Order: sequence, then C-alpha cells, then structure tokens
Amino acid sequence: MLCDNCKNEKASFHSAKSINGIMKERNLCASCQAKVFPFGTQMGSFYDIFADFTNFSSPLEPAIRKEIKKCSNCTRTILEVEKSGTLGCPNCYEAFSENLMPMILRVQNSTIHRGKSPNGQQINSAANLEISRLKKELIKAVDDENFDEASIIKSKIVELERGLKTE
Amino acid sequence: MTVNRDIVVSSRVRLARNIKNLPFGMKFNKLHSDNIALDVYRNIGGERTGFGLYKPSSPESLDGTVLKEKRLISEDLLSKAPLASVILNESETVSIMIGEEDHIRIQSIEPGFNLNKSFIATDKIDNIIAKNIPLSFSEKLGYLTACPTNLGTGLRVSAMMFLPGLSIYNSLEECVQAMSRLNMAIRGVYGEGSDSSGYLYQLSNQRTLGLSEEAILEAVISSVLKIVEAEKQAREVLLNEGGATLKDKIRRALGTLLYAHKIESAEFNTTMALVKLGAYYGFFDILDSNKFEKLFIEAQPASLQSICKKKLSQQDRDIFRAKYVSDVLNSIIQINGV
Ligand SMILES: [Zn+2]
Ligand SMILES: [Zn+2]
Repeated sequence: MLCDNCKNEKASFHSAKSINGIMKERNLCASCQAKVFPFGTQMGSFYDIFADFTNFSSPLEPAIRKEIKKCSNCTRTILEVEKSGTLGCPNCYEAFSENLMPMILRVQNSTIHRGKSPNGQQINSAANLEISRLKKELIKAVDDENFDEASIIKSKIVELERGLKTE
Repeated sequence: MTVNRDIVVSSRVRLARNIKNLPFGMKFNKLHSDNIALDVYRNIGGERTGFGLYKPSSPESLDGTVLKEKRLISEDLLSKAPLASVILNESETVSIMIGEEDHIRIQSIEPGFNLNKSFIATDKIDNIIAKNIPLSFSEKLGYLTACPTNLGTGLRVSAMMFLPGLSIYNSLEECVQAMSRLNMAIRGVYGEGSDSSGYLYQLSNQRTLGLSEEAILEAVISSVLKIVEAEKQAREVLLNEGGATLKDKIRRALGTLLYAHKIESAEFNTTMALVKLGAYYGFFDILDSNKFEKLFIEAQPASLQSICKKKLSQQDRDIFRAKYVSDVLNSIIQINGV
C-alpha cells in the first residue's frame, strides 16, 4: 500500500480513528509519519495525540475549494470563523491573519501582546520588535525627507515606549 | 479606600488558556478533556492542596446547576456536561473550568471588593499550569483563545456591583457610555435592565490585548471606584427625594420577605434588593452580612432544592423559598425605629 500523503513511498504506519462519527483511515510512510507526529509516538504524553489530531487533515486533504480560505490545521473556513466569531484552532490566527488583524485591532485597539508569557516573564519582545522596525522606518523616512511620515512614526514609537514603561 | 459589599458584591478574575496544538473547544473526545482535567488537577497538587475535581453528569443535573448559581461554573461549561469538568478549592473561591470555549479557564471569586486577591490567586495557578502543560502562545498575540475578544492576556477582571441608585435614576446609560470610553463594559447580571434584575451589574475590561495584566487590573479597579462614587451620590439623592415613600416601599419589601407564604425567584430578587438598600440607609441592621449575602444564592432554584435535599415542584419551591428566607432574615435582621 502506498502512503496517503506523498503517494510515493510504501506505507509503514496504519491507523484508523473516528472523528465526529466518521472513521478515517491513514496509511503513511515513515517520513510523512514523522511530519504528522512531530514529537514521535514514544513521548508518553497524551498531548502528542493532539498534535496528531490537529495535523490530521493538513498533509492529507488538499484544500477542496481554493477560493474559500481554509485553515490547514483544523479545516475551518474563513466563512465559519466569521459566522461563529470563534476560531477552530491556534493556527487559525495565522491562516486568517489578513481577515482577523483589522478586526482584532478594532476590538482590542492593539495587535501586540504586552502581558506575561508561559515562562513566567513579562514579555515585551513583540513591542520591542515593533519599535526596532519602526525605528528603521523612521531613519528611512528622514533620509527620504518625508517629514510628515517621520513624525507619525515617531509618535508611534513614543506611544509604544510609554506602554513598556508603564509596565 | 474600603468599599464593602453594599455596592461591590463580589470580585472576579478569569484567565483563558488553551493547550498547544489542540483545536479549541472540546467536542471531539471525552478522553482528552478528562485527561486535561486530571493533568491540571495533578499539577496543582490535587487533594493534597484541598482541591476537588467535579464533573456535572448532565446539563440539568442539580449539582451542576448549584455550581452555576454560585457562579463557580459558566452556563457554557454546564451545557457541555458530561464532557466538561471543574476543579474547585475548599472555600469555593477558586474554580478551574476545563472544557469551556477555551480548554482551561482559571477563575477566582472573592466576596466584596478584592480584585487584587482574585488576581493573585489566578496568576499563581496559571504559573503552575504553564510550568507543566504546553500552552498555546504566540510572541506577538500572546495567549491564543477561541474568541479574539479574549486574546493576549486572556484576562477578564470584573466586579459584580449592586446599583439601585443609578438604576432608579436612569443614570446607568450614561455610566455605560462613560465606561465604554475607558474600554470597560457594564452588563446586567440577570436580564438587561429589568426590575427583577435585583439591580446587579457586572463591570469588566473589554480589552485583553496590548495591555499588561497589571494595567488591566488597575484600570478596572479605578473604574469600579468611579462607579462606586456615582452610586453613593445617587443613593443620597434617592433618599432625600424618596422620603417616606421610599422608606415605605423598602419596609413593605421586608414585610413580603418575612411574611409571604410563597415567593417566586423574580419577586425575591426585587424585594431582597430593596431590603439591602434599606440596610444601607440604616432602616434596619443586618447582624450577619455573610449570611445575608449568601441568601441571594441560596434562594435560587437549584440551591434551594439542594438545601432541602429533594426535587421540588415550582409551587413547593416557592413555598419552601418563602419559609427559608423568612427564617434566615428573622435571625439576622433587626428593625430600627418606626
Ligand atoms: Zn509519504
Ligand atoms: Zn485552525
């Protein structure tokens, strides 16, 4: 039997599981299996079952309708996201970034996290990254003698830096 | 500044967290949600630290509904029974919901105005969880949540406020608008603005992204204090203008609670609210304010049935409520003057 994914190599990994009541069968070669199980199966944690689950559809099901944007990780479409207001999985944030960012900016008035992180530290790296990006833009704007734009960029930097200090 | 429970009833802080790589929601597999619940339970120390793990058997289960009435679990979590679980501490101030819209929701409720204490409690548990369980996090967007309105910190800080003064003077609309300019939301706890709401409102932050946890906490605290000031003024005006009519209305409400033979939930909410206002004005003394505040929850349908330890028809429930409320109030209320 050939691998479902690359349709090239001989399948060495076989599994079947029921998702929403529908049995899905998989036959993968060693290298495709490694892609689907990024942590391997010997980790002994149940969390890698999730990795398996979330990646289940990505290498195996090519987007059926190209015109509707779809998350490769959970198969949710942009239409479903817009209708329900909720996302299917963490990867949806990247998959639908173009559609979500303006909405996030409107609701949250920001697109940059300034709080704690799982390693226990307050991270400002996103804000710092943005500041260094803006500083480069500022230099360019000044070089181009584009002073209106420069002053806009400068006020953005000041605001971001103020945000860092108040923490 | 001290604010007691006659304006800020309770303080609540909630953190939304999701497990790395796992799709949001918990539809797909009971085993997974149980595993997450067990894993969180084990990591925070399980029984050793005084926590218990509970699973409502169905959305209609009495135990589950009692937890909902106590606000220890959400409507959403209960609707997902028996897939969802909740981890509770002994004093019922901390609840960790597993299987809500987000996989893990850490919540702490403290009586009165004590948002700092609630925040510290949730933060501590979050640190333990983050150390042991892989969480969905992006450097740019922070904690990734099922709904973008919780994105970033995943932090919702809220105060339950008792606002009869502002409600009666129709000044709430102004407050809502002023607060929304500060990115704060005010919502009715039971049905929007209706009389049976018991004048209870929830004030909470709208933004969760782009601000640090401390900044969000401080912003909510200062907003609560503004509303407290406005409510105090409204209550003064209400007392001066209401005069004998107001006093009569409040004493009749107490009369109903003390002497009615049966009383429905909605009438209980309205009359209790007036009695609480009367106590604020000193028309009567409440000798045990904890017992008094607890009564608001105990008189809810499921909690009542859990107290009397059997399922009751609507009518029997209303009769039992009247008796129970009257007994409690009789033991803790002292009427001043005439
Ligand atoms: Zn292959
Ligand atoms: Zn997705």
